[in-house]
Amino acid sequence: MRPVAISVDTPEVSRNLAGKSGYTFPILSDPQAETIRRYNLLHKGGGPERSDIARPAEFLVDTSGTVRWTNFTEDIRIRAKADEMLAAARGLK
Amino acid sequence: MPETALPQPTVRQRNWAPWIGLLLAVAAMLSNAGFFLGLPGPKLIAWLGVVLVIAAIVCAVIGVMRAFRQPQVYRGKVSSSILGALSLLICGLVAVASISSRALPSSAAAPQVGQKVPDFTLTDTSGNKVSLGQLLGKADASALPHSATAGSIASGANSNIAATPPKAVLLVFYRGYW
Repeated sequence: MRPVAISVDTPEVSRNLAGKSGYTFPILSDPQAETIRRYNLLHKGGGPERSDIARPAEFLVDTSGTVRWTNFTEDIRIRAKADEMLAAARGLK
Repeated sequence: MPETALPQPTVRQRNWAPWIGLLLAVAAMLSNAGFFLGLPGPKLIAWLGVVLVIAAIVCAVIGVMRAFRQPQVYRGKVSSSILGALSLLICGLVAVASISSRALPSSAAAPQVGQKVPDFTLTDTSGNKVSLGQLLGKADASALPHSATAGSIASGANSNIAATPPKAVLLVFYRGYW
């Protein structure tokens, strides 16, 4: 199972994040929030200075492109922890 | 004039309610730290915050009411007012934080279990275009970008991508601006 992170951050900002945190998975940039919109995850004005960002959400997608598990947090303070995500991924194999 | 003995004034009680109210308000604020510390049961922590705010406001109101309506029994008109205002201010801040943390769009039209996700092609940290198809290990995994940067972390990840296609991909959309 490969995690892929997506946000409006530019590649430069994401590079800093990856470097600081030691993340090894792909971090992709959607600065105009086009993909975020297509996934219906746009949080208009939700970011600093009322910028458009994504609302947090996770999708476990199999090789056919079908969604097998989703997580839409109701509270940005509550993050799905890595072990919860991995348990969901293992449970679906 | 004979000296009349003045009745001994009853010693008034300490008005504890405003202090308890302030304590509860501060506790409500600190309960938010529970989220960032990654304590278990975050939903419980969220509800605990709500309970603490309500209890704080109740105590603050009781404290002020006692001081003003029963001044012969309770002390502290000034202190209860100040403490009450402080408690309300803190509760207000906590309430604003809680409400804005939960003010998220409904995303009802987002891909659900069983549906196909929209395809995309986005730029990774090395400036290369990556498509969903490539991530899923379909067609032409060898075309996946190898990191041009010197970081061993990045190149290690990309050599893994080319070697074994994953059984599943976890798309993690996050707010950014970390």
